[in-house]
Amino acid sequence: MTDHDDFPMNHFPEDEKFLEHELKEMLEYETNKPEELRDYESIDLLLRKLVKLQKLDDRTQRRTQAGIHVIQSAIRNQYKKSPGRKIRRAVLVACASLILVPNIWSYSVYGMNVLTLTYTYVKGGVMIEFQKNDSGTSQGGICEDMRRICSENGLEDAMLPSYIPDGFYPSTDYGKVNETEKATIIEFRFKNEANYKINYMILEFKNQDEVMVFGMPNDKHNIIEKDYGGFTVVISKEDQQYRAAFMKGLTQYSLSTYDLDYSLAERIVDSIFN
Amino acid sequence: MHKRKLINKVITENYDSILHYCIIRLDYDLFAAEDCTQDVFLLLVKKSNELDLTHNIRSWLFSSAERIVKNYLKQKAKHDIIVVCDLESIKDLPSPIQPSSSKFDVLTEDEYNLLKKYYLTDCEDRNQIANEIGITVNALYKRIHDIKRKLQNAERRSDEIKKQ
Repeated sequence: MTDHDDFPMNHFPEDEKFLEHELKEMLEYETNKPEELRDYESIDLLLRKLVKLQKLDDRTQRRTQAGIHVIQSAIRNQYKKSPGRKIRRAVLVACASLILVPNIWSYSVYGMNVLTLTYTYVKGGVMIEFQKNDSGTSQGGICEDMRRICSENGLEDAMLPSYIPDGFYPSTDYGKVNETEKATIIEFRFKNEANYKINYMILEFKNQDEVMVFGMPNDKHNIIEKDYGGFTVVISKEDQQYRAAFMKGLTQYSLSTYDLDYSLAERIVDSIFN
Repeated sequence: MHKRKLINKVITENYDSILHYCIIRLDYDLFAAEDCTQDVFLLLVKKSNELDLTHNIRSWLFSSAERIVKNYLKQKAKHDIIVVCDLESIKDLPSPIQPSSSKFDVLTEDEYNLLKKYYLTDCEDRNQIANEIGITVNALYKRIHDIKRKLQNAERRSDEIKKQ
């Protein structure tokens, strides 16, 4: 066949589903190229075509607005903090001067380093606090809100933490409720500005046959059981990821944290039972 | 304040593109896509002092989104819930997703670019592609047909190899 042979104009009617599939595969192909070979203009064009075909814009408008709002809140909080950091820096510089200036004077007059005296004095019981640690406030407002959401969905007696570390705020799908044939699922998701994450999930199964046990991904099978007044909590810690799960009747509770200090994660678990 | 306005502008102009990208890459899991999109822009805020927000920021955003999506998929492969009876009988977890070769690897660069252009263009505008490469529309369709056949043959061969 030569280039001049007749091919009917509608010889290749592209089914929309087929086209979507092909475009999606192309998008994956383009994004999997090594970074130096990636053509972001092509990626953009493929993405726009797919969004148009699937009418994604209509479906995601509300989520876009909500998401932008969350990021802008994070920016506002970051800029609010900056003056505080500057003040702390000024205080530290002043403290350092208080030590260094007398030290230089002491050495030049007495041939003795005043820092030795300061060190002894400090050793005697002066504590210098440089970084404010988590104060351990309970963020009672958030915990009450979790209780409210559970009650609205028939889980008045849900077991909930009464402690969420400072600095964590609800992320976009906080309080998401999902009703399936097998269970009612409620998720509470939090994150902080360092992008650490906390997820607390409740699954109330409809009956015994539907109950699934939470699988613990752990390369070294490093899993422990801990008893909390009759409740057996299974705990996994690996790669700064903490997971804890337990059952009460037909309800499964699980906590997952990412990058959070293990001690704080354990504190969250303790607060469920205290 | 100027920096803050610039960051806000980047976010407003690009949030929906990155969200759509994550939705498509994460198989339409809207909640996961939202999470990953948030991570991209939180990273942007964190690194805003190191980045040039006026030049080529879009490629940085897509590049970061790809890394975050891949990381999420890798973590998800480890986190899939499995049904077990007790701790002692925990099955082996599914292995993390392995990168696979693409069917488009069998095409030459020209064939791939032509196919991409063809898919991106609406039917009524395909004359333009034919004119650009100096052939008739029918000849264009023949080339596309040949390229698709090449892809189908490659997929068939790959399926046969997997079955063996």
